[in-house]
Amino acid sequence: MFDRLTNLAGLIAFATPLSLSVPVIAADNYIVGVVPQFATQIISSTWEPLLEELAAKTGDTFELVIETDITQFEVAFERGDYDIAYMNPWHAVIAFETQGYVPIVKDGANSLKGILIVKADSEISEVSQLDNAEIAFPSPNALSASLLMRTELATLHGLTVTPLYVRTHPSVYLNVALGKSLAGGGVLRTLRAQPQSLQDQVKIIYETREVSPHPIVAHPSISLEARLKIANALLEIAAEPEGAALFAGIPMQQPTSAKLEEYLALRDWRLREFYVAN
Amino acid sequence: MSPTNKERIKWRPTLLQISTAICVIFSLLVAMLMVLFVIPQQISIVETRLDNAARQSLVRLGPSVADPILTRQYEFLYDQLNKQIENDDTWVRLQVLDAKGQKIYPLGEWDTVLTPNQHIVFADIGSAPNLIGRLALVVDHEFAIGESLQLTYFLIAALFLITAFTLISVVLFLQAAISRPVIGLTSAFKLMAKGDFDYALPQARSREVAYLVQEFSRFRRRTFGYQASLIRLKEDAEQANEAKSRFMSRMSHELRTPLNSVLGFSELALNESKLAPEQRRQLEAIHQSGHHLLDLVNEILDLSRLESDTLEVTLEPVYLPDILDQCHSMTTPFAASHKVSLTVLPIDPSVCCVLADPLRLKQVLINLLSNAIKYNQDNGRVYVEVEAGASNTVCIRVRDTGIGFTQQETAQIFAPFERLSKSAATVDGTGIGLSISKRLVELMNGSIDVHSVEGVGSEFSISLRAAEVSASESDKILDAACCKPIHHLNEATEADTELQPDPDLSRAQSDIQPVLATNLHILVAEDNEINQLLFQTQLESLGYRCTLVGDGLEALSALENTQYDLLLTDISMPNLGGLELTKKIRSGESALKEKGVHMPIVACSANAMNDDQASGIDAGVDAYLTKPFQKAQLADVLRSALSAKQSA
Repeated sequence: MFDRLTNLAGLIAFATPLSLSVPVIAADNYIVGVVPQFATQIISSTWEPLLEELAAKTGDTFELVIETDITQFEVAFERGDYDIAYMNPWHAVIAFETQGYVPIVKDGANSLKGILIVKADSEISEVSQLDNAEIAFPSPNALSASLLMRTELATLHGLTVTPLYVRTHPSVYLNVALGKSLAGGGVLRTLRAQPQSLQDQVKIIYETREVSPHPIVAHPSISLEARLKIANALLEIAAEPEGAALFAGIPMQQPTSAKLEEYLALRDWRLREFYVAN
Repeated sequence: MSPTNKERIKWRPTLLQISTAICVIFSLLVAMLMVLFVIPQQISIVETRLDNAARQSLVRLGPSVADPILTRQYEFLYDQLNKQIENDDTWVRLQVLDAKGQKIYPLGEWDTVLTPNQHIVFADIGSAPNLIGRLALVVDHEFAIGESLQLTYFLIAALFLITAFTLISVVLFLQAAISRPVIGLTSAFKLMAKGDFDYALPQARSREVAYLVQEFSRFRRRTFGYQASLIRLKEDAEQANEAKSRFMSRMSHELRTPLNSVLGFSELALNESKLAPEQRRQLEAIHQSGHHLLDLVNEILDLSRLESDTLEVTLEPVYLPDILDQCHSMTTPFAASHKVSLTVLPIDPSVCCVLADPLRLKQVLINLLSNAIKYNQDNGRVYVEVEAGASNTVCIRVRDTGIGFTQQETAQIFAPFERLSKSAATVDGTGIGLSISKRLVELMNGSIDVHSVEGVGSEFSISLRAAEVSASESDKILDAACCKPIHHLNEATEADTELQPDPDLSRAQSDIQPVLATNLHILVAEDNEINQLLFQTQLESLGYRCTLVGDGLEALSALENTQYDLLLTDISMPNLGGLELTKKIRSGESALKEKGVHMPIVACSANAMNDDQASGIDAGVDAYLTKPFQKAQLADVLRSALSAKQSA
């Protein structure tokens, strides 16, 4: 499966020489992609001010491109559409492998952890009770909530489950709360954002291992110098109170420098086996 | 208008009250129509429309939620439904069931209880056999209905205001156009009744009321004219009556003066014992004719006073046995001369008192008795009986066995100067006695009645109000009746003169004797020479000395020079009249330091009217003697006046 992905990446790399040359030619104009895990307006309203600030710092221009869903986003970054992109850690691994994207900035405060929830009054308390059960997930490759959870349930607990993808975290929680699905995969941060009435109707029975939070990655076509300039500019913005507020909207509590190694560790967790390629 | 009618009008509502009541009732009816029909109807229509609108919205919502349901992407479903409920005021809560009937939305409990304003509408998502789910929506139209009702309320308020304004305007107009003018006219009517013909008439704003006011004004003018002419007529009548009274007074005086001489001298002549029988008979005829003439004058005077309402009676308890006794003794000689027996039947003590003027009652009784005697037959009888009448009255009956009269004659017997034709030729009389009697009895609040059978007899009944008097009081009444002031004396005898064929002679002979020794000196003021001579003769025959003067001035100078025991004065004299003379003497007496000086003054006049006597008493005379008088009366008056002086 790994080979197949690599080949695919290589194929894509060869197939899109024109698109690759675009960032090189216009080095001072960057296309920015953001994983569409929130509604387009929300993403736009949080990212546009930040990019304006970044443009002011660097003197470059940044153009925000938002895909309608994660699959489209995955297709886009695997194709190397973005000069700079914000994505989940596993996407960062794929992006590195397909296009050579490297992480430049990440949230240093929170690490990601998937949670498995069941209905609050459910008799299920152990993951082992969920063998062959239908479990709701946002999307196949949502890292902590879906990909890591499915991977761990299969590899660590030897369970076979029927995944149902309902696009968003709240939909996962609602499916569980309404009793439509026995269990659901999510993350603590999005669960805590739900109305208390919904939170009260579910309980957490399992947590995954931690992964580094979403990084901002840069396409390898961007020079190291330019990459550093952008990374430093982002960190400078984060150091200012107004800038910190802009980052909080992403959400990114404590932007810090990111290293590729932190993310490449995920390769050993057999995530690739459960990654649903587009 | 009777009091009950007046009371009934007082409780009738005024125009203003009626109009206000109609306004209130009409407004209530409109309000009831609005509250009981229009508003519920409108609410019902609005609710149906809103329910339909809600159902349409729900149907349109169906397709847009079908996909999230099928893909179980519930966040989108929840977002969409939450937003929908938030945006629509009328949406209270929404329920989504999937095809199996399992609840998808909302997360919490679904409240099945509806408040009165809430309605539930349903819509399927998809259709059988591919039914995806079902939507249930609870809507509350209160707000929407409230908004739509606002217009209705505004309309109702406007309607009310317009109605109220219109009705109040009508009421005010009616008030101004009808009530106020009618009240004004009522005041004008009331004041007109009190004699005010100038009260300002109300302004009329409508034609009908204007006609009413105009007609009233015309009526008032005409009434004013009538009243003015009535007042003129009344004044004329009063003047004529006064003239009549003056004429009566004058006539009475003028007739009495010569009568005084006729009666006085014939009386004196009859006292002469040397008369031949023929001369005595002729003198007696002169004397009786004089008396008859005097009666006639007296009766005409009475009738005149009765007709002019100047005759006054004083009602007091009268003890009947005494009055009847006096009448009996006065009429007995007359009855004897007609060979008629007169009997007063015993009187029950319970009916012995009546409320009457004693002198006038006596006059009436004597009139009835003399009639009963006159119109009787030889050996006839006259009975007087007293018995209780109806409703606290006493009935005095005078019954005779006389010639009687027919039913037809009964009707006219009380009319003045009516004499029954068959008796008129044979019996003396003026024909006004009964007329006077009837009026006198009526003046005393009584009534007189007659029953007669021709050839069998007549019965006259007098009904008078009974008076409650105890035995001791009745004695007092008796005493009072006997001790009347002397100036009434001759009045009391007026009536009975006729009844006695020759009363003067017998009385004169009995009364004169005790007075003779006096030899007192009397000043006589009299302008008529014949009367001077009569006075002189009468006084001297009574044993008095007298000095004659012609008028008041002469009397005054005589009084200054000589001491007199009594002044006998005529009223009507030249230079200074009797009343003025009396006033001068009395004012002179009161100016004297020495108290108790009082000259006895007896006024003597042919003026027989009550007013004349009253003014005489006012001037200060001690007694009043009406001409003509008999020697006996003169003797009585003089004796009384002199004895009063001596006792003083």
